[in-house]
Amino acid sequence: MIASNGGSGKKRGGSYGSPPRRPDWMGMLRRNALLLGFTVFIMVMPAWAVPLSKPLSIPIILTMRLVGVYAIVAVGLNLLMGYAGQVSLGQGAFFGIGAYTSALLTTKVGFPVWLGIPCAILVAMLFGVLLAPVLRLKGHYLAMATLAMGIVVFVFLREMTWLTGGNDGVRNIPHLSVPFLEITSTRGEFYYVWIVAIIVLALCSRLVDSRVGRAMRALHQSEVAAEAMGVPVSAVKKRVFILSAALGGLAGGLFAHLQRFIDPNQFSILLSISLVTMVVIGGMESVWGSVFGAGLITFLPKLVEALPRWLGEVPDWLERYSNYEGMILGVIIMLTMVFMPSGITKGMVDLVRWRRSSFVNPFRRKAVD
Amino acid sequence: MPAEEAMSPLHEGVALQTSGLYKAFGGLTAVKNISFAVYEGEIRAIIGPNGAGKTTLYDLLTGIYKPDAGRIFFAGKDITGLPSHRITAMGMARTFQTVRLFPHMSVMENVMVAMHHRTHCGFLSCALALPPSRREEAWMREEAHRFLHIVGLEMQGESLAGNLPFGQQRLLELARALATQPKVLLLDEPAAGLNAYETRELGDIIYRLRDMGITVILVEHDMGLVMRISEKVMVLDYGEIISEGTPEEVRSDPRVIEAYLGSVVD
Amino acid sequence: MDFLGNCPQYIANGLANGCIYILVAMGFNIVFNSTGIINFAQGEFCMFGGLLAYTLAASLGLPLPLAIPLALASTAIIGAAMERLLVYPLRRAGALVAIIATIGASIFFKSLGRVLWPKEAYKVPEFTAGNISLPGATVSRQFLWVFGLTILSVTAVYLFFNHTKAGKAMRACSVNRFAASLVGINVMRMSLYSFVLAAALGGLAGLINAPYASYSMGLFLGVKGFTSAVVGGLGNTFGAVTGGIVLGLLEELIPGFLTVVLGVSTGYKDAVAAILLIAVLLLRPQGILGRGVVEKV
Repeated sequence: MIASNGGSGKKRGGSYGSPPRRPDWMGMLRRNALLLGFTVFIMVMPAWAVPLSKPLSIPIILTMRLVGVYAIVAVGLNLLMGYAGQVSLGQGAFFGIGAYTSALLTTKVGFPVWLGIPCAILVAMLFGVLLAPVLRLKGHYLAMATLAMGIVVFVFLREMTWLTGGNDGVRNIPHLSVPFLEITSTRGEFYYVWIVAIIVLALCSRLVDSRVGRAMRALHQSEVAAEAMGVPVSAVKKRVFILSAALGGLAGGLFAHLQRFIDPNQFSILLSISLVTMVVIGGMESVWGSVFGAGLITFLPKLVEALPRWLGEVPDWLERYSNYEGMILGVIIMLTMVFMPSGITKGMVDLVRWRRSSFVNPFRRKAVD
Repeated sequence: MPAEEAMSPLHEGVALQTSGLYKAFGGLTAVKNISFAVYEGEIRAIIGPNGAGKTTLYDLLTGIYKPDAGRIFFAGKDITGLPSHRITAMGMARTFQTVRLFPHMSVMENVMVAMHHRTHCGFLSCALALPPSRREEAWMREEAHRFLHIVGLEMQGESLAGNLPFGQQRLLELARALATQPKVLLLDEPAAGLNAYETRELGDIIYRLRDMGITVILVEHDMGLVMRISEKVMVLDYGEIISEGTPEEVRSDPRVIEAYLGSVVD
Repeated sequence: MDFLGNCPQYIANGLANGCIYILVAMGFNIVFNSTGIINFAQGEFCMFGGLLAYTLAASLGLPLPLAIPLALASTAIIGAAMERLLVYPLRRAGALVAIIATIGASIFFKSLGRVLWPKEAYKVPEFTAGNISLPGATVSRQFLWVFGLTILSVTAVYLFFNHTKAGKAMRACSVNRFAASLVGINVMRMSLYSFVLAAALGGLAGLINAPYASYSMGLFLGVKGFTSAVVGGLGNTFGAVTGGIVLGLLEELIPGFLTVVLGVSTGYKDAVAAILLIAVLLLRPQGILGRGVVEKV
């Protein structure tokens, strides 16, 4: 097989092209600029965020730990939903399963935390394998079936009191740890979570641009064509589903040890819906969009809580201000879907590039429907 | 099943063979008792009026539908009922009547998807970008480039497939099908929507494919193209083969004329 | 306690709940037929129906015959507003965008409900108070209203779809929206009508679902209504009736059996609908009444 490509020059006897002869440092730097930039941003974050937390009345670092957790599960969901096109409204189930696995193993069996979290991943993957048959469904049906899956897991977490403690939850969950070192400070937890998250993000952003990622995107765009081009569609779907379950389990495990108290209501269907919202608002088919989405959805309630304090004395109608959180969230979701259906990150990029021409007012009537 | 005995599978040099294929949708029989054999290196045309069952036949051959009865033999094996991707991996590729590209992926990526079954790196290797996966990736790019060159799209590698003009989309579909490295290539109305110049080009490309050792089967309405390039023509009407032979034989067959123009008595 | 002795009571309760599910399921069907969307905010229409009825009848002291039509009309207006502001601009969007958008509406409605009606539960006045004793079971008089109004609604919906021009036009939309628009049916108006009708039915379900209504009732009622619709075959009016009754009965009988015979908690009741939904979708996606449809690729 001789490449007609004149540029690569060198030809080898084997059927594989030759790997780059020496590492191309500048190229690698350019390709990973976003990842590196983000890593630096996270690493220096405590330096400016800690002094800012008080005047803003938002515990930035404390919240950022959760953003990291949600970013992990949201990225997993984005692989499934954004890239492979399989809606899941039950991702919170895997998150909950992961959280309970690690929490119970560490509190009741006495596992160390750094072993509990891998077990959380494994158990979540196992449930992923068990639940994978729902992937036979499409569109609305898949959405509802996964929603139902989330409800079933939630009800069982609540009712299997002999195992989960029911509505009383699991208390006194140990702190995160690495072998021989327990991590108790907020800043330590922040770095712990984000190192894991950045590794996950790096792996996922590589994955989507590889053979497997292409297969995922192809089956999203046309299952028939992907199958006809030799992509084993159902196998790829199943693996992505299990991968997203694994990431859900990982995030859930981290979550349990950050919160140190879990109860079933933290893993209700509302969690699944906020996870979907993170993915959709941040942008489908965008690994970094999910991080942004996770940040937005996690900080929104804190912001809503803090706003009255910025205003000084609280006006009367703001008394029940935090109740508006859901309304604001709902409006954001609806506006995003109507005006920027590909997510806020992509929508903003389009705005910045001033692609006004592609903007069609969705309210305007067109001649043909 | 008697059909199986009637047609012993796979004589020497037969690339693809079917015996007694049936497929019905509800009450409508789309494909009725179709038996034929295509020899290696042949260019075979399948023609027939709209709704004659040509595309359904393709869907049966490539495993998108399972036949209600009958068998399909390919590459020395009975492939009846195998999933589509397995059949593709064995060496049968197709294009679609309505172009089914992956519109949000680049031209290059569209072709690379079709090399899925010839590459092996899994989730872990891809996510970690291990050396084997990087080698594979580089190899896929070179290969993809080669196939784009065959259809003349090597300059458009980075544009989005959905943004290509229609004629080029058809060519890309062809390049994508070639990238699966087929022994038999099924083309579904490849000339539909092409202008006269592009159609001539297509004819040349099909010849080149045959010279590369690919057996080409095409469903086509453009009679000029069919008569010019095909060695044997098969005519379907109401799901049945009503005529089979060289282009000249088929052209003068009264049953074919009737199928296209209606009965004279009517 | 013995399970069989309780059965009449379970069946009575199951039928009463089933009627509510039928109304919600019909709402799903109507919207699905004319727009191809599953409206995840359907359950929130029930919430509005119930809570508006509470406000009009209990807080403002309007007589019930006035308060109920007013509550239904207000819910229908909410449905219309949702269609014009959200569904209409998304008429060309894909399934996923529509799903997320209606989920957004559902979140919005629910928090709106929570802001306006912050308590955990409000007592919606019953049409006629008191209970009736039947052999083996006691049912409230409200049950008769639920039963009667459900039969009335199902009949009305059936007549509307089969004997009025607008109804037939909506059925045409359900078969093929594009073809319907070609023969001069205003598909967008049909979409509006369907939301109005679905909201009114949902509102009715919410306000006869006495005695309590709360801002959080929407999600579970929505899932149960959808389950009923799917069990009977999505888009099919009589399917909704069958599905609603099947779900209502199963939801009483299975936990009843589990609790009395096996001594398990009744909390598992909430999972019955979800498990039934998954089972039907996987084993018989066309519903227990539906005929197989060949899906052409």
